Amino acid sequence: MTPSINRGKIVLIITAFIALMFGVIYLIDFLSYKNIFFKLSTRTTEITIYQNSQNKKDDPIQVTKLTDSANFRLKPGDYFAISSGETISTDSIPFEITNESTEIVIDPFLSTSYLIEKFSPEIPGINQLIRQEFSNLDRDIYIDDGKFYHYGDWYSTTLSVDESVEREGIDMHAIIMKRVGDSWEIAGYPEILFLYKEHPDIPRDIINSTNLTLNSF
Amino acid sequence: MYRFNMPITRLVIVSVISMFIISVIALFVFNLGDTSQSVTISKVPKDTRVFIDNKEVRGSKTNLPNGKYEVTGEKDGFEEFKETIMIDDFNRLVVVSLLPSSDEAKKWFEENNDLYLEQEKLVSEQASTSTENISTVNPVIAVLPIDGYTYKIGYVLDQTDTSGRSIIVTIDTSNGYRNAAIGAIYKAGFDPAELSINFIDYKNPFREDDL
Repeated sequence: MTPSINRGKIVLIITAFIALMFGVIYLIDFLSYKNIFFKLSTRTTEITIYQNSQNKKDDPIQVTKLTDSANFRLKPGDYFAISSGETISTDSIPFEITNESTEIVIDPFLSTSYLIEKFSPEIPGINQLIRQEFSNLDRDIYIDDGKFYHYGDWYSTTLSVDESVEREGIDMHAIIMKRVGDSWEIAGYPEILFLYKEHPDIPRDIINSTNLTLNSF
Repeated sequence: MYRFNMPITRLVIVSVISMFIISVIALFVFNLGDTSQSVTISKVPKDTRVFIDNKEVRGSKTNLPNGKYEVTGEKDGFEEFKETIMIDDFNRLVVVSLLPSSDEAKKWFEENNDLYLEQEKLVSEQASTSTENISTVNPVIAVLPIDGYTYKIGYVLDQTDTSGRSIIVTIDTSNGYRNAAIGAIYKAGFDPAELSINFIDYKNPFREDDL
């Protein structure tokens, strides 16, 4: 066998090996994608999906837009969605794709303006409930108009007790209510500051917003 | 004619290196789930029997994952040592010092007092490191105390936490100024809802049992 034939065989083997390596790499990459079903709420007209950059200094990368519930292939990682719709919030909705992920539900909260428009008529009734709850205190309670959250199923407001004897100064408190069926219940009794660890059943964003409203600086 | 002849020696070298690499990778993979870290045990007398969660530990080192442990030490002629300790990323030292009870042990204690002094030094160094670690665990300490015109914000150690690294932020002010004091914590860049806070002389007007 002449050296030139051997050389040819060597080149062929190397080329085949390189092609095989590329093929394996492509297959591994293809298999790393997960087929995810994105279920959009009826209020959501469109979502834009972004992938968080691994380098925090870089901007997120827009991956795709969906105008209806649909399947889409994504690699495991951190993403967020921005929703569009008349009555919904445009706050980003973070989600993570893992090896076990199969479905992501996108159900944005209602927008602030829609919450005010739809649920403000309920405020007098809520205030009445609060007064009844603390009627045993035999004190004047001053209740401000508060704020609805999420799907209109949470509400918080600030309130204070009148120091009828000496009006030195009054600490403002806040109360957090939760809708249960057709009525409202107290989820967080009046506090001067709500702590996350003392109220694990109240969403953190509601606690944070309530505390900031109460203790603005 | 070209031949792919590999001398035996080269084949052996390549095999050994390959096995070494595979072993290192295997060791790394199998240890991924192991969260134990090395803990040093300093004991006086040196032949004290030390038990951690009722399991005897021999030698001056052992591996323990982070957590709370019951440490006991015993030796004839000495009082039993019993202490609950916290092992975490900042504290990886267990100090066991037995006090003498028998006459022989008391005599030994007097002759080896320097060993106990060394133990005290270790405990003191650990406490010093712990103080630095309190700031790491509670970054709000960096901005405390806050002395406002109408309020004082400080902190005390949380005595209910055996690690000794938890704090309680204290707000000392009169009625009508607590909201401003909380606002000062926000202004300093911290979320007060994450902290343990004690409002001094505060009675919640909406709680009958507070009034």
